[in-house]
Amino acid sequence: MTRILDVRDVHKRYPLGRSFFGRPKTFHDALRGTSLTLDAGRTVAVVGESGAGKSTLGRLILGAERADSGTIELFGTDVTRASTKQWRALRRRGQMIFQDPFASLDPRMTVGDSVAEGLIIHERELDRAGRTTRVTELLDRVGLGPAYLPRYPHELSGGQLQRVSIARALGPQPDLIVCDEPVAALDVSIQAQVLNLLLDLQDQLGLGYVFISHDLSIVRRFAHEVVVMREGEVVESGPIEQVFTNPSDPYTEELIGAVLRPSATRTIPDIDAGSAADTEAEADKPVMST
Amino acid sequence: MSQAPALDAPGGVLDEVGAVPPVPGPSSTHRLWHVLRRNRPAVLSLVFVAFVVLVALFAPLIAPQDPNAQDLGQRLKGPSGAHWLGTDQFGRDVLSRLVMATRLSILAVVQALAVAALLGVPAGLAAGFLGRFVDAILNPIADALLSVPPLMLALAVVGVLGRGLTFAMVAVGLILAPRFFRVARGAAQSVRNETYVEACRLLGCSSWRLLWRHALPNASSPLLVQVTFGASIVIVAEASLSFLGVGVQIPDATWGSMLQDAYRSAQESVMFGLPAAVMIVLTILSFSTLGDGLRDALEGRATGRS
Amino acid sequence: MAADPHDTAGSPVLEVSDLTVDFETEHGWTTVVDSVSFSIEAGETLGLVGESGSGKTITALSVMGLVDGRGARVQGSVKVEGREMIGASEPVLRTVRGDLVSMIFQEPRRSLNPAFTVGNQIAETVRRHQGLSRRDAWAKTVEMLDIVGIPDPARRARQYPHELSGGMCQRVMLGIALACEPALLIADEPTTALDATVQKRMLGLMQSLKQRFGLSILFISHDLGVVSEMADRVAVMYAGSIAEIAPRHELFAEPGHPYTAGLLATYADGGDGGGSGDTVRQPRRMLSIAGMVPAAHEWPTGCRFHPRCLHAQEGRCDAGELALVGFGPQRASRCVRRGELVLEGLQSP
Repeated sequence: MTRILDVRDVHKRYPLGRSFFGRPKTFHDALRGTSLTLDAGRTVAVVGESGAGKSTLGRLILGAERADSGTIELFGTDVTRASTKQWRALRRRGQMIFQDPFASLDPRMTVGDSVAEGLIIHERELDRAGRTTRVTELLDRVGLGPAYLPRYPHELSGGQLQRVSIARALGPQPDLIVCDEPVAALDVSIQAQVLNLLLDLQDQLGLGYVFISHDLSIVRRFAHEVVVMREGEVVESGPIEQVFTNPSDPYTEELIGAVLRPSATRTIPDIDAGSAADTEAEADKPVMST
Repeated sequence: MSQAPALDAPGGVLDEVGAVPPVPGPSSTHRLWHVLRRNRPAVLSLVFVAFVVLVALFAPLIAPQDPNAQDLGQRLKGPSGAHWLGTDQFGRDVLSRLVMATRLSILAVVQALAVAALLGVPAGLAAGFLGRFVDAILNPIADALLSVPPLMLALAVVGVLGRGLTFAMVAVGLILAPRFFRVARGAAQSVRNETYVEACRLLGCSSWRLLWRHALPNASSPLLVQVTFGASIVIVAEASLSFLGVGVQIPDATWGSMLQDAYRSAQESVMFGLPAAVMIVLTILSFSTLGDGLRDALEGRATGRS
Repeated sequence: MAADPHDTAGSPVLEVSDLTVDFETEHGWTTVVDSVSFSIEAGETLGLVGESGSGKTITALSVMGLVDGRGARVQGSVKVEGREMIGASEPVLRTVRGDLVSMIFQEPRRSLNPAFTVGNQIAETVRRHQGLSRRDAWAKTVEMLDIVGIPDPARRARQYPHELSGGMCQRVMLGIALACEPALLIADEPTTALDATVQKRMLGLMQSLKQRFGLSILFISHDLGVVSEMADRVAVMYAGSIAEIAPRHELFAEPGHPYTAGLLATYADGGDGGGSGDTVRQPRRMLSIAGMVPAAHEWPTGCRFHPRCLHAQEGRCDAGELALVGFGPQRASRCVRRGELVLEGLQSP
């Protein structure tokens, strides 16, 4: 089992509000000593509510931002302080899929051009015809026919567009994909389609996934391991079934208990409307999210 | 009673992703034309601008007579069989002069806009997209250029370079450049924070590629609008400069210089300046309307006519 | 003013009959809500379930009389406590809104006016509908904030929306909506934008407020889990019309429409069954519905779900007007094959 990702004790803070001299007045600690590992062909889910730092973690892993401290090893290489140049070699191997497919694709580029972009960068020897063949292959892999090539993003539905985004990510033939809430913006009946596609791709291509999600019901059927985060810290982690059936942290229990599924019985007790106690907890939630 | 087969049976209905319109859509230019076509004023403007450009291109072939041939016996005559638009203060055929003036006026517009775009657009894109350092240097320069009174700037440039239409247009281009800079910078800034730009960065896109492939196309719409409005400004600016004598040099004519000639002969007759005035007004109107129409059509295409 | 929830003698709080909404689009006049009918009794929560393109939000807005103007055409009848909303004049609508029926939306922060304090926004409603003096209105405001569970209400009332968290803003929205004690509350995806733990508390709050004020609720959601907690009856909408309507537990146990069965299947096997402590669990494919929701101008003929339906039969499902047919008490379905099919509901109680 090759370890493709090893995050150790990573910290990241963002300045909030500046004083007269430009020094930041306060900081928002997005990540406080987070650690995480992933082996090839496996999926680790990162779950938590807004403000937990899940997306920040995803971005640090792929070098979109730099950690303040700690180490991140990607495919055995220490990338914590890597320069843009050093990242260039690694870009091929680690890709990302975003939550909103309409935002993550250039609205002025056709589907074919968007998917080809990764190829233009990483497979330079391909000529136009070769690229078109590869793009058609990639679209086929995600269940889209060649009719999609000349289409623009606004002509497609969310589910179809997310498939395009996956096809684009597959172009450079990565070994790791960070999925940042990939189905949160999709209709329920489409979510499973896209998740099944990701599972199939994992089987076929041996992809590793860092799966960021706030939705625990999806995560349980999708991941091998899970990391539960709260306000920048990891409160619990381990094999998914173990964490779900025997959570060791009360927060994890709370999260699991908050998952609502259709059932014959109701689970929510009527909360005495006058009780202010439970609103204290959310009263001071940071205004920034993830 | 039928039992439902597993929804995700292999090869089953599940593999259907969903309908895409069966007929492949028309190419993007075709679609653009389709949208633009519905905008009647824009189409008329386009036709007019095309007409003017054609006249400019084929001017020497169209002009019936020598634009510079003087005939002092025929001064300031109204329209007649020999001179469809009459004659000017030196007896020159107004129609021929107008045709040649069209060529020079259009040339002037092209020159000035080319200078403005070449100076303003790459700088604006770089400043908006790369930000910080680059922006900190270029932005104040653009602001400085904007704050100098245009006429003084033009005179200064011409003073250095010399008189003549081309140099005057370089000056006008310099005056227009900050506008292009601002527009390109604004467009690049708005694009910089888009998710798809981050997605492409993670894909491995270099900053150059991002500027060229993502920032510029997204800036094309406001820039195109800026070009059309710029054209109007150039026409007026050229007329002013020629009026002052630092633009086109006699005996050549532009619309602006023809206006100036008419002004000089105001005591006797200004009628022969009318054709040039009409051309100026119509051309400016057309550029503006076309600019609006193009902008609307381009926006509609990108966002699905929302 | 709490109505007795067992009072079935009274007329329904909300009666929607043949509601049809058309919009003028680039494809011409397009129907987005097609002849929808349902009613809500006093003290009852009706869950309206649907995905994007189902028409559920437009239906809700029509109940509030908020769909109008050029480019929109509303037909049919919507009666709130006997008062007709469709075609009513704006002054009449304004007296009904807030007083008889209120609405809360998905994005609480965006629904609140950022320029006014939250207290101000509640007070304004109360003054407009009940004509209270400033002092009385303020007292009522603080009382409402307390009722919706906001700690230190007097202080919070002077704060602006951006100073509050999402969950608190949604509570404020509830406060505004319920300040005049309407008979009907329309909640359009009220917890979708909230964290799961916050959502749970919010739903609990809504349940208790419902008891306290004797509210009827039209609860719109795409999330069957949420609907399961809140609704007494459920109407499932697809492509502009109601696919089926049933009491909650019957809907889940024995769905009467393949679309409902399909939706339920995506929640199935969430991990309750089979958790034998096996720690090396392989990820499993989920059940899904193939295809996608058709756009309003491209609705299929016959049953609108038939292109995606495993049970669709040529000749029966792909043509003609399929009506909502009642069967059993309080149940109706638009599926012509319903009687023949065994549709799987939830597996475990």
